[in-house]
Amino acid sequence: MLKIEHLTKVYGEKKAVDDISLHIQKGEIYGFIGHNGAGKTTTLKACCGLLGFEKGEIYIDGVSVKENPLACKAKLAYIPDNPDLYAFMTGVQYLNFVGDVYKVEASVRQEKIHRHADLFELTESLAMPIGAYSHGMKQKLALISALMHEPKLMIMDEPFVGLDPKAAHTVKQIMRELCDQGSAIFFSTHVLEVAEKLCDKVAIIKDGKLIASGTMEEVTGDTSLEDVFLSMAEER
Amino acid sequence: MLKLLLKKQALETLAFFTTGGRYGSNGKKRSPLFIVAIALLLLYGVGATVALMGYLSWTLCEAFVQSGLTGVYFAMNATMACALALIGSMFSAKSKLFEAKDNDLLLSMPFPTWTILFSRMAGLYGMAFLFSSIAFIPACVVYFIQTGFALLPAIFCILNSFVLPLLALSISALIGWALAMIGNRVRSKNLVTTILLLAFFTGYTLLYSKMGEAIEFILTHGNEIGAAMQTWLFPFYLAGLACSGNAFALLGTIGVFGGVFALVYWLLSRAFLKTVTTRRGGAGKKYKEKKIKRSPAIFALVKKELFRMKNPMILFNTAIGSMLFIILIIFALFNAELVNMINASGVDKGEIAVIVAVVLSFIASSNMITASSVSLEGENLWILKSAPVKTEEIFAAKLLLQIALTCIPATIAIVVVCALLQIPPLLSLLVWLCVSVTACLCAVLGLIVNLKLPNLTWTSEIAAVKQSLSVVVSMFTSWGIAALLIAGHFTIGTLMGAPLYLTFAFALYASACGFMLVWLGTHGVKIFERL
Repeated sequence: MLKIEHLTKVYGEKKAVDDISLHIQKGEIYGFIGHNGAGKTTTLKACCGLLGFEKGEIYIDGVSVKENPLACKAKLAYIPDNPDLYAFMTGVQYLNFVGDVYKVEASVRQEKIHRHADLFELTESLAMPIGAYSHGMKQKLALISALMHEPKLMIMDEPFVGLDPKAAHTVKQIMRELCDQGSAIFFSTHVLEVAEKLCDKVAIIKDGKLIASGTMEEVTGDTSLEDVFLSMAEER
Repeated sequence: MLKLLLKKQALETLAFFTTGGRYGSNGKKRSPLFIVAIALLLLYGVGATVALMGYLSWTLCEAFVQSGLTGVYFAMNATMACALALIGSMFSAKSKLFEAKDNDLLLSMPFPTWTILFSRMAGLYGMAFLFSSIAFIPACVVYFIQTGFALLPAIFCILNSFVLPLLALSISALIGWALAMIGNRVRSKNLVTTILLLAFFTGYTLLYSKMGEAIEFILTHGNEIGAAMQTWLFPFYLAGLACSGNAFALLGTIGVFGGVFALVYWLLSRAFLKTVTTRRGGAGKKYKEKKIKRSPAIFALVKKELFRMKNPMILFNTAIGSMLFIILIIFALFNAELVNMINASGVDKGEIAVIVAVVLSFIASSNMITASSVSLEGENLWILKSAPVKTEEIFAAKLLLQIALTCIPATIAIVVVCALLQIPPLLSLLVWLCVSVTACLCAVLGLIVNLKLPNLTWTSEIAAVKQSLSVVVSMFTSWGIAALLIAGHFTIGTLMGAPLYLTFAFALYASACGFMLVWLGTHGVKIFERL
């Protein structure tokens, strides 16, 4: 579903991402971990076509992000670490805006909004201006909007930050459901316990370079993901 | 503490001049050549405005000084300076003082609340000072040219130029606070604020439209005005006396203007915390499920741009031209005397059509919606950039909004004005074409300038819509486009005749618009994608 090949992104003289290659299959939840400034967000943004890159290629469902960014964007949903949404719109106005942009049928949209807003206990607040939302509410609204067009690939940057435990649990359930239906999820996190329990595969990035990737068993072996991450972070 | 906040405020105000914000121009410093070009453009804009104000003062000064009413001359200019400063700062006071995005951040730090308010008021004072100086400094310069230079009055004039904006600042801050309080208590706060501001603006504009008669009255009734000012506008009378070299009057001016500011500042600093932390009106509204309708992506994008205009601060700062069209329609419909006078004057209808086209083009060029539309995306830019829509569609939505909000009221104004002034249908059509193409050209120009000069890291929307370099550059250039129409009329227009001249102007502006649209579709798209 997502194929990253030799991706390199340079800021000035600094290589933020250095020759990264990753393949994510349908149905996989792929975790992306690394210290602050390691290059996680840059990689995720490059996958969404938000950032250009110097070398390499990214394919989403076989389509090149460089060659055909619009077709790729139509297949994916992106949720940034700090979802700044349009504060001047109400929740439902924003959802309709996203629905129109992604050409979601009115009946499908109605059903998805109803279902997911109820699930995240946000229905009553949908008439409120987003400017009055808390961080967690914005995060939930961003998730509802992302789920509306049934993306084949979901790219999430720190999706659990700001969510209450119940909402975090719901998100994990939805992530699994989405992948069971054939989509794929690529997400970054600092919560290693969550990554360990939720992910089918994991990749560790340090100073822009991929230092480990594979199934959870391949990366962790007999130890925990936290031990592996800390030892790798110290080693190299 | 206060020094730190003032430094932060100054950095925020000046940042747009050196960098394009976090995303803009990849954070690179602007080249010296670029800064020189912008400085020259600003110089032209400010120079043209100052020259206009200076011309106005020249006539007044001669008459007043000859009648021995120097103090009244300065008092009149001080009043005008304050009125300008009020218009310049009023629409941004609420947003700048109470709705900045860094409210929570600053309140969580060990800054006393009075320092936060003071630093923001300092920013607003800068704006008021700029506007009042446009009227007051040329008046002082004209005075010294006509009467000869004198040191003491010159020093007093300089001191007064710093003191005068304090009153406008105090009134603006109070209006901003009142609007913020309304916003905290009323559900339809945007509607209420818009109505209040529109009423105030209409009154102000209608008063301003009587300026010609007022100047005539002032010139013939200098003594009466002096007496009236002494009674009703005593602070300005004091300021006028101070400028003519009276030290006691200067102390009095500082005392009155400074005192009003101190009182307002004291009141607002007590109410500041409550004002910025009170939950906004409308927050409690519950959602009721309704049947959803699907629209094409371009409609959704236009609607999104339109939603932004619900904020009165954005509406009044970017779509002032649309308001002026509405006021013009009302003014034209209820001023039969003026209409009859023009119709009876015997002036050629072609000449009148050109003047109507120029005036309406000036009004159309006052709309600055696209000039801040990219900057306003700010931290929300990721939504558009990650959506499966073409950049050209995003541009089209931004352009469509400005063109619609300008051309719809402009068309009504043209129909009303041309009908009242009995302009023949063909000439009316040419007027409409000219005004519409000017509106389109200004919209495209604003978008291009904003793409080249974006400010995506603002802490208050007002920084993007009012204090950004993009808006200033677009404003002066747009006015230049409108001014070119009148300059062209006096050079080639009189030789060509009105119908041919208007057709030529339309063709010229339409071609320029076409070229700029091609640029937007190629270079503009690349710039947006790099933001």
